[in-house]
Amino acid sequence: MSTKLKQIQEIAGAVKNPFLEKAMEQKKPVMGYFCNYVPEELLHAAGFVPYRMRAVGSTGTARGDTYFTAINCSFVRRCFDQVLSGEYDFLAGAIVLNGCDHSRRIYDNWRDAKKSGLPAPEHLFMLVAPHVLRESALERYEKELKKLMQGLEDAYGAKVSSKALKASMDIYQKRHELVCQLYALRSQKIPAITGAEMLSVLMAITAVPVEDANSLLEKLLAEIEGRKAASSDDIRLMLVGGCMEEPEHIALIEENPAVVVADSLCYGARLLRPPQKDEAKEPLAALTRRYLFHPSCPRMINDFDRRKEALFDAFNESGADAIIAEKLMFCDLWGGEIFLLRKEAKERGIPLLGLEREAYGGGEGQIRTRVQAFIEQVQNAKARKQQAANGKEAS
Amino acid sequence: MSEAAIEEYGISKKALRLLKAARPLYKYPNAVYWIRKLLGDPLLLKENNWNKDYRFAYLLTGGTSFSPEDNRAVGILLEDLYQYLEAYVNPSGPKKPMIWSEWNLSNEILRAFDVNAYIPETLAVLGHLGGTDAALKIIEEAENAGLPPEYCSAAKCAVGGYLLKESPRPDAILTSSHPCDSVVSSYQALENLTDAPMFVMDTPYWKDEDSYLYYADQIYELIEFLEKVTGQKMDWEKLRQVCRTVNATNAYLQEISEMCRAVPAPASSLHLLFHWLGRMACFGSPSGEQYAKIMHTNAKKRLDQGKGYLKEEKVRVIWYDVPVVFEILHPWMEKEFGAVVVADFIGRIQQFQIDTSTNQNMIRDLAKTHMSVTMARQCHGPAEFYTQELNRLIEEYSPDCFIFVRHQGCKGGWAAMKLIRDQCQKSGLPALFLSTDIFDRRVASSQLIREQVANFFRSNKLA
Ligand code: SF4
Ligand code: SF4
Repeated sequence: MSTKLKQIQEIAGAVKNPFLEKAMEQKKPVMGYFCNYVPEELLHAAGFVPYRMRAVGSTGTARGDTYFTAINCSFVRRCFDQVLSGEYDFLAGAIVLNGCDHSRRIYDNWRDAKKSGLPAPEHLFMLVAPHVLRESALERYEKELKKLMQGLEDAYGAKVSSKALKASMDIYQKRHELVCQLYALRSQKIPAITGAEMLSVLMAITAVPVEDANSLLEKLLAEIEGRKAASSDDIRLMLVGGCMEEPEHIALIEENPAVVVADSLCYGARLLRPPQKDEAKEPLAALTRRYLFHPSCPRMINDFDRRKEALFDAFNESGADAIIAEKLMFCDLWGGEIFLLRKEAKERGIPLLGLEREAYGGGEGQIRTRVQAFIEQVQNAKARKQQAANGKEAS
Repeated sequence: MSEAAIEEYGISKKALRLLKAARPLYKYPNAVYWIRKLLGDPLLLKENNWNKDYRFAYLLTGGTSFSPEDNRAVGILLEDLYQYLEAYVNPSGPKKPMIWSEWNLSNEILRAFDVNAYIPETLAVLGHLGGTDAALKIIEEAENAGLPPEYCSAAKCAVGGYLLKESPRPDAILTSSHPCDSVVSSYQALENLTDAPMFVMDTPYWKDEDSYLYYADQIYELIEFLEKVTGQKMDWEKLRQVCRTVNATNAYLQEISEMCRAVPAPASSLHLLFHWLGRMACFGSPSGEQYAKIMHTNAKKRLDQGKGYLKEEKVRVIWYDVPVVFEILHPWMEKEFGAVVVADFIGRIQQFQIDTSTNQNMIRDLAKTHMSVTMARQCHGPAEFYTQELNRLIEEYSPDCFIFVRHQGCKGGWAAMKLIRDQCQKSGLPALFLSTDIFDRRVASSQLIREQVANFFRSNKLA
């Protein structure tokens, strides 16, 4: 295995990592955040190391369940469990987003826990992102970002100048380009990186200072150039869903003659925030547009058509054979999305397997069986198609 | 289910037949009162094959507890519901655009256009008028089609109703980002299935001037959208009139809500709950105002006479959650335990008055009222929107206990469970968390629910 990949997997497999610790030694404050609608660039420009909150290393939900219930999302319960266990005591602050009904309550519950003397950073913020894509929402989102900036300034004296923001956007733009290169290597005929490895990479780069992330990515790209991480006969999969942070889960899928070559995941293509054609010169306005119009998730109500087109474009470009769409239990948003994607995939003749699971929740046996059966089904369909095409050619 | 097997509006037609039969009766509210008395609660409180088609209507309209005067108001609202169903089941006259509107939106704007409004989730309530199994049939249709089981049963009814041909084809759909993910998600499904243009109100998280202005700006966008899809111009004078009606209605209902602070309470939250059903279907109608006015007069009279809605009020309940619609418990709790729900989550009104002096003020205040309707008011935004209101009720309504419904749809409520429980504990009052659902009777049978309530009252020596 590539040495960089090994290092990356270690970073992805723990809450803290040496890069983060080094940054903290240098007195750089770490700001935890939930969700892809929190602009990392803005936090970076304010002098923070943005850190995407995760449940990695979770051993249970006992503490989390003092606030949440068995009918809530297991990612949220596990992550909050980690919070209450003091795993995140290194954070200078945290930003919660109105992502869904489960995750938005972290803001309420964390504040309550803080009052009771449970582990919590000094400052907690709530960022509200619109649920629609349109120009008036853009204005509103920018206002909310300004409110957040003001909050950071009031709490930490962290002022963000346009110049600093522009500089941060450039650094993140570089990360964006490097990740795009990785995506290209992943979707080539024989992928240079597996789906499980890719997830580790994306988890790692959102847990370290961006400067380190860029250097890790550069080295990784150099190392895996020409690598063959799968076989040309493997079924090529696209993985779709929300919170997924267990590389071992993807590895379980890839135990089959299959490899994930494309995705639409939170730790995946939704981390990509390409510059928009009609973005303003002013950095904050440009950043707002990038974040509002970046590949969306089902929390955005009026964007299914655009989302679905982007998804099937990525599917076609990557030469994928089938889709596995996943949701965590009790997630209305992804439940509804899979309902729609199933219908759309059927209309296009694309095989789609819907999976439901709990974060870090076991159930491997059942998942293994279902995936195996699905891969066989796709293989057979592909072989039949190939035979038919050969027959046509021969005649 | 195969296409051929589906009868268009099968359930709605049944509901319509029931309303048609009830309409003439309600011209004689005294007679209705005596018929109810004679048929009696014992026959109707428990479901059997004989009564299952109209038991829900009986319970929703108060059982034997509603006085003849209250029945007069009920008759008015039933007429509204009848007209609402009739408009899409048996349309007559020139065709009007059919606009769907999500159940937590207020429809003043729609009334200012010449359109028919349809609320997809009403099927979850009105479906029960088609027999106690009707709503279940709709829910199962949605689940069989692949809709996530964890959705709110109201959302399943909205989608299932369309699949079962219970809903008219929409020319446009209006929805919002409140109050929960079920709404956010199910309307994406409805948009996709119906292929109708959809406008979404992006409800702000906070309630401050800036948020109201953002919402108000969207009302202007909504008007533009409606003008485009209907080819009509909005009638501002009509809107003004509707807003005046809404103001009057809300003022009456709000006062009923406030009067319930008195011991004994001169009204039950069932009066308000029934209006919630009416306002969902016929928001801003003159009949809604009439209903509210009569109920208000009756409650005020009882209050002035120092009388309660119940002859003997023994337990004052705060029902701070969704009701169990498939098994309206109020008449039973009243009769068995002398328990009256003095404040609730859905029926209770806490509203702003709309300033109709200028168009601009009207839209600004409409934004405030939209963000204060039931569910939107409490479920959207930080947990304080929920807990602070609950706190106020505890302080002002002299409750003896709480009842909550652990409806699986409301994930935001579940996620704030500790904060809610803490508040109950602080009050020192007993709380029952009923394990059931708002519309889906599969989660817990009527009998089980009643047992839970009865045990709760008894074990806490409330009855
Ligand atoms: S998986 Fe679904 S419920 Fe869980 S945090 Fe993500 S969007 Fe929310
Ligand atoms: S009852 Fe609960 S889940 Fe259903 S629409 Fe209302 S807030 Fe959402």
